[in-house]
Amino acid sequence: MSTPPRCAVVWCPAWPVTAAVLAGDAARGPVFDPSAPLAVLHARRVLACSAAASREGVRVGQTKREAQSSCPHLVLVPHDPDRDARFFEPVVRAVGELVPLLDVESPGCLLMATRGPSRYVGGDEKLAERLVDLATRGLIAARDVSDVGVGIADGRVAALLAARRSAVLRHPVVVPSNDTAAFLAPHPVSALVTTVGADPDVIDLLGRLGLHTLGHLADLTSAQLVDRFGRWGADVFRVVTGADDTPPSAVAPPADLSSSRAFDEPIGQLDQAVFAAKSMADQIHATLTDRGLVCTRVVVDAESEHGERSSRAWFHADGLVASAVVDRVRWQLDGWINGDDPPSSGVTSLRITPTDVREASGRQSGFWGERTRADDAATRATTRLIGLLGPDAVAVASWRGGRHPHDEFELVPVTALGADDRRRVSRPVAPPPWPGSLPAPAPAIVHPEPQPIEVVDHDDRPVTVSGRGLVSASPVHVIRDRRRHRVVAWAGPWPFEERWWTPQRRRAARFQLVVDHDGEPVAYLAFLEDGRWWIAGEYR
Amino acid sequence: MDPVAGRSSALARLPARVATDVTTASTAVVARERNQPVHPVLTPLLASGLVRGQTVVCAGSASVSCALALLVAPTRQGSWAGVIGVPSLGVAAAADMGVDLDRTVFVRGRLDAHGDPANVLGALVDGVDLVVTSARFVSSLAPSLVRRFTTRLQSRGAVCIVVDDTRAMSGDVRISTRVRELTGIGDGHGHVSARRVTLEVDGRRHERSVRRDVWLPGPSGCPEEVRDVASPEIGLRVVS
Repeated sequence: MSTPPRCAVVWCPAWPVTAAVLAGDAARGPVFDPSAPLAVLHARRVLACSAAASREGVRVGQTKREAQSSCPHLVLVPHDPDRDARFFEPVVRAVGELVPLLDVESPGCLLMATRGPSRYVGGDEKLAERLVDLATRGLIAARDVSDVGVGIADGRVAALLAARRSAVLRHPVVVPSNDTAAFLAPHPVSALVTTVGADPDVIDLLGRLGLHTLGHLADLTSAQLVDRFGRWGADVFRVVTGADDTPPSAVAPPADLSSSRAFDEPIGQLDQAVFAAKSMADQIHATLTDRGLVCTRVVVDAESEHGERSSRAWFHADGLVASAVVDRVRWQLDGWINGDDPPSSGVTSLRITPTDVREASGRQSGFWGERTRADDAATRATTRLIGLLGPDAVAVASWRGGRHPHDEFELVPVTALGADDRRRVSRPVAPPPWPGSLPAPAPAIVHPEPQPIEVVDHDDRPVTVSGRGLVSASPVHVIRDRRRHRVVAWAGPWPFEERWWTPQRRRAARFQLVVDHDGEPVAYLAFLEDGRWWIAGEYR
Repeated sequence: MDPVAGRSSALARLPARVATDVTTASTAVVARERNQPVHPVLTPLLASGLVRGQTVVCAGSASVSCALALLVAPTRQGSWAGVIGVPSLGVAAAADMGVDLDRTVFVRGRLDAHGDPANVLGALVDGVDLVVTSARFVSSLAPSLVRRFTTRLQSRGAVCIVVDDTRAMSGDVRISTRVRELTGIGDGHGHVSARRVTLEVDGRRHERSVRRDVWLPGPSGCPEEVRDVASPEIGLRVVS
C-alpha cells in the first residue's frame, strides 16, 4: 500500500456567507450584518448559513421553505460563485507567500502538500500555526465573520475532515501519521458527500445497511465493498482505511495536453478571456476523452502585457469537464482583473494545463448523469446555444413544489447547474402533497403573464367573492379579447393567501371555468384578485 | 514485388473500402433509429410512430396536450426534446403527462437579438431529436429560414412538432383535436379531472384519416384509452 501524501487544508466554514458579507462591505453588493441569520441559497437549497442562522436551526441542504420555517427572519442571499472566488483571492495570496504550490479545492478551501513547507517551518504543528496566521491575515477584512480551520493529516480526505473539526474547536488539528484510520472512524458516512462527492442516495443506503460511520466501513473488507458498490467501493475503502484517496491509476499527463493562446490585442474584458478559454477547454476535454482520461487538476496561467502573472491550480476529485474548467478560469481571472491588485494592462496570454489526469472511471458525469450519444449531442447543442443566445437562454425544468402550476417547476438556466451538480431535475416519484395546490391535471398552457378577462353573472354584473369566500353569483359569461363565451361549468373559489406577514401580501381566489369555444368546452384556470379577473392557465 | 506498385495498389483499394464502411454505417443507423416511438394510447393512430425528419402539426383545442403526449415515449427512451418559441408551455402538465423533463431543454429569449436565428435553429436541431415549437413562432420566421429549418430537420432526422396550424409550415402529419367532454367539474363544484378528445390524424402519405377518442389527459394526468363511452374510473368524486 502506498503511503498517502501528507496534506494540509485551510478551510473557511460557510465561505459563501462570508463572501456575501465581504461583498457588502466592499460596496459591491447589498450590505449584510454578519451577526444576523444569513443563508446563501443555490437551486432553492441552503448552501451555507451563518452561525446565527445555524443556532436558529437552519441546516445546509434544507429547502428554502424549511429554512424559513425554522427561522422566519432569515436573510436569504443568492449564490454567486464568482463572488466567492473573488473574495477568497486575498486568502489564497496570503497563504501562497509560504506555500507556493496550492490547490484551490473550491472557494473557501485550500489544499496543499506539507512535505516541503513543513520541513521549512519545522514541523506540522508549526506549519499549522503559520497557516492560521496567514489565512487570518488574508481574512483581515472579514475577521468578525469567519473562523479558519487548519487540518493536517495523511491524505486529502482526512485533512479535509481535520480542517472541519479545527474550525469547530478553534485550534489547528494535526492528525499523526499512523492515526488516520482511527481519526476517520467516528465520522458519519455523510462526510463522504462533501469530501469525495458521494451520492446522497448511496449514503442513505449505507445507513440502511447499518453502516453509520467511516469506522463501520473500515471494518469491512475491500472485496465486500467492491461487491456491493463496484469501483466506488474500492475508492471509499482506501479512504476510510487511511490509504491514498487518489486512485492508483493516476497517470502522468501527456505533455501535449496543455493549451495556450496568445492574444495580439491585450484583453481587458473578462468575457473575452472566458470566451477564449471555452474553446481551449473544449479542445483539452476532447483530447482527454479520446484517450479515456479525465483531468482532476488544471493549472491556469494568465499573463498581462507587462509581464504580471496569475497562476493557480484547481482541483476536483470527480474530474473537471470543459464547462467546469471554464468556470475556474473565470473565477481566477475575475479575482485577478477585478481584485485589489489588478494587472496594469490587459491579458496577453492564457494557458490551461491539466496536471493530474486519471483514467475515466465512469464516475464523471455531465449535466444529467449517465451519458449516451444523444446526451452528448444535446449537451453540445446546449453549449452552442448558450454561446449564441447568452447564459440564460437554455433552461431545464427543476421541481421545487408549489401551489400554482407555474410554481411547481422552475426553469433553471443550464449554466446555473454545475457540471457536477447531481440534483434531481424531475419531480420526486411521489411528490409530497402541497397544501393548497389544485389536483391534477395541470393546465397545458401557463401564461408567463396572466391575461385579463371579465367574468359576469346572469345580469352582466362582475362576479365577485366576499371576504368569507362566497361567490356573489354563478359566472355565466367570460369576456376575453372582447369575445363573449358562455360558461358551461365552473368550480371554486379556492382561496389562497401568500406572504400575509409582509407588505407584498396577496389574497386571491382561484376558479376553474369551462367555457364554450365554438361548441367545444375549454377549461381555464382563472383567479380573482382585487376585484379583477385573470387567466393563469388554459387546459388546451 | 515492386514496393511502389504495391503501395499504389493498396491506395487504389482504399477509397472503395472507406465508401462501403460509410454506407453500411449509415444504413445501420437509419434502420435502427428510423422512427420515434409513440405512447401506446396513440399507437392505433400513428402505427409507425413519428417518422424522423417529418413535421407534425397538432391543431385544435387540445393541441398543446397532444404535442406533450407525443413527447412522452421518445423522451423516456433516451431522445432529447427542445422547446423553442412556446413560452407558455405548462411544465407541470408535461410532467403529469409523463414527459421525461431530464431530457427536455427550454430555449428562451429573442432569437434575432444575437445574430442569425438560422444558427440558433440549426444548433437546436443538431442537438435534439424532437423540436417543439408553436405556429406563432414559425410564422414569425422568414419563409427562407423555415425552408432551411425543414431541410435541416430532414437531414438530421429530427421530428418537429408544431402546436397549432400555420400557413408558414405545412406538416407531413396533421393531428387535429376536438374536445368532447370535460369530466369532474360541475356547476360550482368538483374540478377538471379528465378530458375526452377526438384525435384525427391525416397526412400527405395517409390515404385516409384515422380517428379515435382518447382521454387526454385521463384522471391520472397521462393519456389513457377510452374503454367505453362512460367517464373513466375516478377514485373520488366531489359531489357538492
